[in-house]
Parts: sequence; structure tokens; C-alpha cells
Amino acid sequence: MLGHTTLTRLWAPWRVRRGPRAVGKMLAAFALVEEGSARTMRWAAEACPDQQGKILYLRHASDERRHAAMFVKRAAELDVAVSLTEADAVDLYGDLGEIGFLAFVTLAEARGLAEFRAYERAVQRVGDSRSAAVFAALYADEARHERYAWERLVALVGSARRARLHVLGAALGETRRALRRQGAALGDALYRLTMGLLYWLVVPLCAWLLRRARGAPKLGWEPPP
Amino acid sequence: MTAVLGVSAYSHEAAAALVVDGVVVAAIAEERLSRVKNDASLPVRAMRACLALGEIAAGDLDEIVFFEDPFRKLEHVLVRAIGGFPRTGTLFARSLASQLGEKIWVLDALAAALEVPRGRVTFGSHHQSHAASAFFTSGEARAAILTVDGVGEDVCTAIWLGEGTSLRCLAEQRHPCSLGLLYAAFTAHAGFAINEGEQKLMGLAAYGTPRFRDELSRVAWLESGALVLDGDVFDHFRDPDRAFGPRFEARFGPARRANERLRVGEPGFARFADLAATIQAFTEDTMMAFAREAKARTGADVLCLAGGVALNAVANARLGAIFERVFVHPAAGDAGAALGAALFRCPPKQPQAAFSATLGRRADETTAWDLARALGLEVSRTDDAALAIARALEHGELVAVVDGRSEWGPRALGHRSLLAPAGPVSVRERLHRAVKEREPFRPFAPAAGASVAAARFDGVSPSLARFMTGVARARDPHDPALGAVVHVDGTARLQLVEDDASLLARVLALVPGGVVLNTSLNAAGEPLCESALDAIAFFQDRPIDALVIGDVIVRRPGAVS
Repeated sequence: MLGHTTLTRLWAPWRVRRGPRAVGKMLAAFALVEEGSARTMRWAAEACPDQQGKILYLRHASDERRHAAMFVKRAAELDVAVSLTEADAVDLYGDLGEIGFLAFVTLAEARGLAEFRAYERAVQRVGDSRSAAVFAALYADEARHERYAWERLVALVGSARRARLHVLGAALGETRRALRRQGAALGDALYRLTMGLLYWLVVPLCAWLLRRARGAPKLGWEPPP
Repeated sequence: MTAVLGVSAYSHEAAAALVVDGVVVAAIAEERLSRVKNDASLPVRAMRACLALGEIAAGDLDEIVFFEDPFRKLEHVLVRAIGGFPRTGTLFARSLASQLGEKIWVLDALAAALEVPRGRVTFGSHHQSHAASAFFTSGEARAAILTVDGVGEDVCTAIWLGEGTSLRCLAEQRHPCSLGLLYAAFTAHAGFAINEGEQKLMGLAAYGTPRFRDELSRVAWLESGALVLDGDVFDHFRDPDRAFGPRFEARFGPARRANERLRVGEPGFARFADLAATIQAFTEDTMMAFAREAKARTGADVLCLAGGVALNAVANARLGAIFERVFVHPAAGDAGAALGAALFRCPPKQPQAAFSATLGRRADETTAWDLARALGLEVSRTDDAALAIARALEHGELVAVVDGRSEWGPRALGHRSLLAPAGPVSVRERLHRAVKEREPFRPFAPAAGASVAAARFDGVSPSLARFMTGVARARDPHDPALGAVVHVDGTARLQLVEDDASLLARVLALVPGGVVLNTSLNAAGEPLCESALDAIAFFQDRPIDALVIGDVIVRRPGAVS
């Protein structure tokens, strides 16, 4: 957790120094993350058996959706469009169970708050006070989310010590997921390289043979094969 | 008993539908349950929901039918990617990854998800599934069927003859001559997302004149009742999300970026409105040509339509000039093909006169009551929900309605609807800006009973208006009772409410004028609400005045009823 936040603190000033469009793209990416979180929370609200949990997750989802909308609007002002339908979400409640889920939420909200503070300072330094204000507007929500998740986690596991162990477990799980994501990204890059080579070395001959075999494309109505 | 589960997935609308002995028991789009608009993933939630509604275990299913042929699809994608060299560089890697990564394994994935033997999972073909969805729910004994969409396997348009329990394909048009892809190119060029923005383009068309017809006729034209496209202009090969190439922009002007403003009267609006009017007029003419061809080949009096293009309500309304009746399946897009796939394997023994689109889940009133109370909202019960809604509408309020099982298809038909008075233009503005947050040029639709519809509208086709798949023309476009629901060209996508026992019909009987504004219970980019929790969340986030779920009425604390 510390490593990730430290990296963000180092990386944030460089990321925003590339100009308003780079900031816009960054905000658009945050919008997708927030929208993804909103979906995750909605699924949790749907699945959670007790009323209080449903309410907490529903309110959290509502906050995340509002955050996403704020990022979208600021990104648009910086000339970057984003469609929230592209957001990606994971059913963490279903995958981890409620205790694992709450441990993850506690961890993610604490990390989110630290990262948003780093980005707020970075955009403030380049004179983008409106983007800075968007980040600052989220602090209260992030802190509240971290607080409720922690309190509910403690209530479910019985003690703060046990809850801390679960949060540590969530941090390890998150590290594993991050490694898997990086592995997938590497695999994707290798796949693209291989397919690119295949496309330019093998496909031309196949295309030539295919065109010879098929002739001119048929137009108009045809009987079914 | 024969129980068949139809499934569509990995297209742009995943769905599941359960048919038992030819009777449609349940049908749900995955997006309603996952809350992800146009969710294309394997519809595990929808499949489980259908089985729960039918009270059938997966092991008791006779067959699970996937809506298209994944192997023929792979073959077509490969041939297209190779044949289009050197323009298909990006598409090659991307589409092979998606085909080989998940699509080709879909039958195994379905068997694994439902824990049934792989041998019970079969597949149909894309247009056959569309055709079955339209014909077997139309209640007709004999009909011509037109299936028109982007591309399914390698077919874009097909003409079928439906008779009794049989379906026969008579002719088809193959890729790349696709009306759906042509419309998609103009949709993307106007800055809207393909498979989502087509309805926006149709709404925009009413503001323009088709002044680009000559330009368009050089790249897209009709020949012997079939569509021909100049493939170099439409760039489906390079990027399916963009669908137009540099030559398209050279001919029709630069594309609009998604975040560029598009407001009536502002610079740029007129050009995109004219382009929208051009492609809309061309689409209508092409659909007329297809319909004439279908009539000539079948001699049928009735036309059934399905496929994404069949959601073009303005074009559908013109087809009544060729056929006595036109029926469009309420879920005409790929979601509907899930139901078609099941119906093709297990068709109704007799034509079923009244197909009901309420095939989804029921919202739980107890959950609504408990959730709303826990959230600090004002909750009460009523013994006459229709009267409560009508009174609220009389006071100019916006009322969210959740009534019984949810609707199948993209249109809210009174079961997951947002109702408002149809008269005041200010209501439309409030809905646009504060609730739906969508483009202000888009129209809202009216709902009315048969007698009011006949008195206030011309050209009402009952078979189309039942599921809001056609448009009618207001007799007086300046009718003050219809100020919020008549589009700028005087048309409206009217819903004809025929079931007198339904909540919406009872509301219509009580409101002055007998007509209400009926729009879907969702915001921009969201699927329609399905559950009580969805509706409560929507109510919590949007400035609407009341939410009615069954006999439960939810209001904000301190709000005056």
C-alpha cells in the first residue's frame, strides 16, 4: 500500500506536467475506475443479506457514480471524452465474501484518498485549480467510505486486530491481482507483436490466394447456402 | 414437457430466454441484472433468473441454444480480416483475440456455467434466430419476415417465409452490403456510439433535410431491390467502432467528436441534422425496397421484422403502405435473438394472439419498503396506485413506476417507466436536463388508450404501437395536451395501451386528456431499472417526485403529496 502510494506521489507531477489533455485523460481514467467501483458496490448491495449492509453499499455506489460524473465533466472541459459504459468492474463481494470485500474496500479507500491528495497537489502546482477542486471535493466521501468499511469489518470479525489481518490479506491479494494484471498486459503485448508479424509476413499470400479463389464479391440477393 | 433456454452473448446485447412447450416463460437481458449497459458477457445472471422464473433446474432443460453459429462466425471474421489486407491490421489481432479467446468456446462456457452435459448445448444461426423471434411472437399463421441488422455470421439482411411452425429462408444479402453498418457509420460520424446512438441519430434527423442524397447515392444505392455499398468509403475493416474512413469524411465533412456540443441552432448542428435526415431517408427507402422484395417473394399480407434496424420506428411506420400489418419484435436487437433461438427449437403449436412483453422479474415490494425506510425516505401504502399516480401527474410531478414483471426489449411499456404529464414543455426540459441528462433534441414518447390515440393521432398502427416500434403523426402538432411528447416533425413514438387491466391503462383512464409521457426508468448510459433496489437507487440519485412500486409509494422526506 505504502509502495503504491509513494509511486503515485513520485509519478503524479510528471503525469500532469504533459499538459491539460494529459490531465483530462487521467481524469477520464479515474471516471472509469469510479464507475467500475459504483457497479461493484451495486452488486454488493444486491447480494448483501442484511439491510444495513445494503444501505451502506447503495449509498457508496451513489457516491462513486457522482464522483465518476464529476471526473467526466472536468475531463470534457479539458477536451477529453469518456463513455462510462466502457468501465470495467469485478464482483468482489461475490468473489471474496463480505469480510474480504470490506477489507478490500478499507484498503482501496485509504489508498484512493492518498492518491487523490497526491494528484490534487500535482495539478495545483501546474495551475489547474479546477481539477484540484474536483479531487478535493472527494476527500470527505473517501474518508467516510474507509470509516464505514473499517467499522463494519471490525463488527463482523470481532476485533480490530483481526480486522487488520484481513486488511493485510487484502493488500496481499491486491498485489497478486496487480501482478496478474501486469502479466496479462505483457501477454497482450506479445500477442500483438506475434499477430503483427503474422499479419505482415503470412497474410499477404493468404489474401492473394483468397481473392483468386473467391473472385469478385457477389452483390444483390442470393439464395441461402 | 420440452424446455429450451435460448442465449445470446458476445455480441452487443447478451440475454437469455426460456421457452417451455412453445410458450415463452421468461426473457431477460443481462444488462438489467448486471447494471452494465449493453452488457455482452455470458449472461449467467439472466440464465439463472429465467430458470428461477420458470422454476426449472438447469439439468431439466432439454436444450440450450446459442443464437448464432460461432464456427461460421470465426470463418467469416478470418476471411474478412485476410481478404481486407492491408486495411485490416488492427482488426486482425483484435478480432482473432476475441474470437479465439472466448467466442469460439461459448458452447463449452454455457455448459460449464449451467453444469449441463456439453451435448445439450447447440446453436442456431443469427438471422434465423431473429426471424424466429419476430414470427413466432407475432401471432400470425403466415407472414413474410425481414431480418435486417449490422452483420450476423456473414449475412446482413434476409427474407424469410414463416408458415405455421416452419421458417424458410428465401434470400439473403451478405457482408459488406449492410444497411445496419451504413447507419452505424453515420452514427459514429455524428459522434454517437455505435449500437447505442442510432436512436439519437433518428431523433436528430427530424431537424434536418436530406440535402446529401446525391452524395450518398454515389456510395450507397439500390439495385434490383438490394443494397450496394462502396466498401472503400465505409471503414468497417479498419475499426468497427468507427465504421467510416477518410473518404467518408472527404465526402460528408469532418466527423463530430463525442464531447463536442450538439445543440439546436448552434454551429455544426445543421450539417449533422442534414446528414442524419439523409441517412434516415435512405434507410426508409431501402426498407421499403426490402419490404417490396419480401412481398414479391412471399405474397404474404403480413410482415414481421427483427434485427437492429427494425428498431427504426420511423422507417417501420412506412412499411404499412406495402403490407396489411407489420409486426416488430419488441426486442428486435440481438437480445431478442436469444428468444428466437429458443422458439426456433420449440415453436408454439398454434399462433399465439397476444404476446406479452412482460417477461422479466417482479420487483419485491417488501424490499422496497424496507430499503426506502432505512434510507430515511417517506414511505406509504396505497390501495389505489393508479389514482395516486394520476393525482401526482395532475400536479405536474414526475413519477417512477415499477409494476409487476419487467419488460422485454429496450422500451419501457409501463412496468419500468417514468411517467410525466404529456402537455407542458417545461416537463420535457426538466426530464432532459435533470433526470435523463440526454441530448435535448431527442423526443419523449406518449402513451394513450385506443380511443384517445385515434382522436389525437393519425397513422396509428396497433401492431406497431403496442410495443412502441412505430411512429404516428399528431393531428395537431401544436396540441397543448401533447406539448412534451410530439417531436419537431409532428411525429411521436406512441405506445398504444390495450390491456385495460394494466396499471398504465388505469392511470390513462384517470388523467385529463387520457395521455401521459412515458419514458424508460433509467438515466443516460444506464440500463432500465429491474429490481426494487435499482428503482430506489434511481429515485435516490435523480430529482423525481415519487416512486410507486406495486402499492408502495416512496417520496422524499417533507415532500408534499
